[in-house]
Amino acid sequence: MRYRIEHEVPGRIRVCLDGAVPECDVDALSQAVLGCAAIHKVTIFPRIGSLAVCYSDASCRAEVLRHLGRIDEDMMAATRAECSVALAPRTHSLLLDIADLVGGFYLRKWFLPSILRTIWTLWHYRRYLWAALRSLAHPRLDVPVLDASAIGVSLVQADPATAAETMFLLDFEETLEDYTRARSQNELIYSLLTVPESAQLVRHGQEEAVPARDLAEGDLIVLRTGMPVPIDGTVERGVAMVNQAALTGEPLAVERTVGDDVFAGTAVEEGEVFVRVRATTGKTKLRAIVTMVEQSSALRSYRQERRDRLADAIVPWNFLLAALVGVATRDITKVAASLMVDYSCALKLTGSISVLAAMSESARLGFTVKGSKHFERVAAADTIVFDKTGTLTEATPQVTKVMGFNGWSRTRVLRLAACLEEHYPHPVARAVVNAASEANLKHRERHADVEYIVAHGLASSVGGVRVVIGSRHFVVEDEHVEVLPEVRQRIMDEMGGLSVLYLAYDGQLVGALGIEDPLKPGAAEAVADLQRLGFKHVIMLTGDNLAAARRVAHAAGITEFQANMLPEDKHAFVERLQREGRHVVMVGDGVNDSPALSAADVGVAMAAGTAIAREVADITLTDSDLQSLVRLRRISQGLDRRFDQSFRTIMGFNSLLLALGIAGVITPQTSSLLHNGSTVLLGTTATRSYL
Amino acid sequence: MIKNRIIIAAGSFLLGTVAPAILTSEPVHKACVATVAAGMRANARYENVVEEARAQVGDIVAEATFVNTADAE
Repeated sequence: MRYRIEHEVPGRIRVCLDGAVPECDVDALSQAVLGCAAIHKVTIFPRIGSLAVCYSDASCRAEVLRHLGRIDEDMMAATRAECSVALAPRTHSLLLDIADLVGGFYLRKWFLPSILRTIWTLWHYRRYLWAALRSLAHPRLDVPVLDASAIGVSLVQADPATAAETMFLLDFEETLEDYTRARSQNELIYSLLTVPESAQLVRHGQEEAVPARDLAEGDLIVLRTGMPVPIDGTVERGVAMVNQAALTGEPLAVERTVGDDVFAGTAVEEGEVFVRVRATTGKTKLRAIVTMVEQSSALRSYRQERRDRLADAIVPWNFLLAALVGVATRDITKVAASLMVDYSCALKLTGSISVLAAMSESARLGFTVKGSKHFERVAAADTIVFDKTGTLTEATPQVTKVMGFNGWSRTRVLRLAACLEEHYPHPVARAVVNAASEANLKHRERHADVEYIVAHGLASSVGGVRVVIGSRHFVVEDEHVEVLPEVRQRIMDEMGGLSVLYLAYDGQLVGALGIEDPLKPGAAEAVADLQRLGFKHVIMLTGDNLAAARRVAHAAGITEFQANMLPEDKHAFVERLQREGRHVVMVGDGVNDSPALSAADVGVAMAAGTAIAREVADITLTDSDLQSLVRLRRISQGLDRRFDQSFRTIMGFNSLLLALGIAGVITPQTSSLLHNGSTVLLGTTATRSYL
Repeated sequence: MIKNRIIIAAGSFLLGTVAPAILTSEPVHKACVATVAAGMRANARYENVVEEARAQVGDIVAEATFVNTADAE
């Protein structure tokens, strides 16, 4: 890309390109420019063919300029494929829209002959009139009727100037509202687009993990319990229960078998299917995200619903007031004054903008909230329940100890364990696989299909002999593998404080693997902050043993914890808390947390969690930093306060305007100006940051 | 006042009657196209000016921020 530096200060450069940037390429160019790690912000001025970039460090200047020079048609074509502009709401043109609106208004006011201005006003009024007639046809007395009546009264009074002014303010308010909503949705969409996804590609009978965006049409992938479906495709082999709630809203999983289609954005709840790729992520990911973002507006908070209902309910009273004023004063100016002011616009506008501002700020700060009601519940919650592994502790635990029994060497134990575990997306499974690859252990697939028993472990067979790997509860109690007292003592001595995986071959214990999952940095501070922000109970639940649970809980500063919990136990525990009258936030990451996540008042899934956890959760963290939860609580409480504050301001200020208008202290025009001006101002202030 | 309104109404009636015939005539059609094209060019120039102003404001704010930061240091 050829460019010329137009303006420069350290940390920011504005360049001029060879020509204007077509409207349809703005998003692609923006994404291509942001492909350089040093650049953190880009502003494009498409009409004049210019762009400004902000970069973090002055030493990166040369790198930034090199990157701009490297952007060519090929890079643009690749970026275009990733961001389907047709679906992404446009946002960069707010200033132009406002400039058109203001410029047009004053051009007409100053230069258009009065008669043509009147004709234009009547022509423009038809839009308000149709909206009002549509409402009346339903029949509804709502804001469009109020707006059309207020403008209509001005027209009846032969005062087209005031009518034009009122419509100008209403258009201005609408433009601003559309922009704020589109901007928030755009931020949400792009923050979600950057979340990486991987897939298990099957090539020549071997599986390998590849980034989902590298998949091509015709590839064969395998999907198992807990995995996301990253593409659209057709099942070639196997049976699975697929949760399609994100696309269809249907909460129950549907069975998918040979010949059936599966769609991106859904997740496998249980089973295993081999899927032939039909449409790749470039075509499907944005659709899945846009669907989610659109659905989020349906999940409105109780408080927002109540405000909107109140806003609609007030409108008929506006008309009643206008009628009473008309009868009492017989003065059409005062009737107009009481129609000019309504509470509804401001209540709805500040409500929805406050929520969208909270959602987009959340997306920027590292979490995705699926609907505004979840903010309300987070703000009201008094209990927060954490899963341990991958939530409080690192998502990448490590195998630090391997023991072999009954003549099995540690190498053999690790090799077989890795061979079984590599098929499942769980942090502990990844730890075993990584340990084997670090030890340079190669293995051939000699086992039969692997059966995944949620929260317990894996079972399979090698040469007709049953092998199981998993928790002590699974291997010893469910599978009845005998562990001699001296072996148990040895394990306890050597694995103190570690999580232990047991490996049994043909009914005999042959190995044990000690997994260390260190506490996440900042976990203790985050727990303390959450307590300071009003969580009375901070609880940790884990399927792990008591010693490992105690070690992590102590390090995180948590006094209430439960060990050896099965998924149904976690679910029952959350339900018991709710029966006791507590409002519960559950934070988890695995398939085994899914029931508890959906049972809690608010379920929060960690970034590295399985797709099914992210599917059932109400809020998804896009990074694994626990401080995100602290920020989430602060934003939720901030949103509550903003709702209350704006409610009081709107009711107080507009009541004052009504009173002054009816008393004849201010004219309907002034009243309209102040009312619409204050609505726009309140809407603008509602976009300010919460933290 | 009433006289004015009568004139406006009569004028509107006359305009409504003869306007279609005038608009379909070739020279008027050409003039309309030229006027609309000029309007569109003016609008495009106006939008360019707005965007140029937006870019300049961005430059000024960035420079002012840099000056303040440099002074503070």
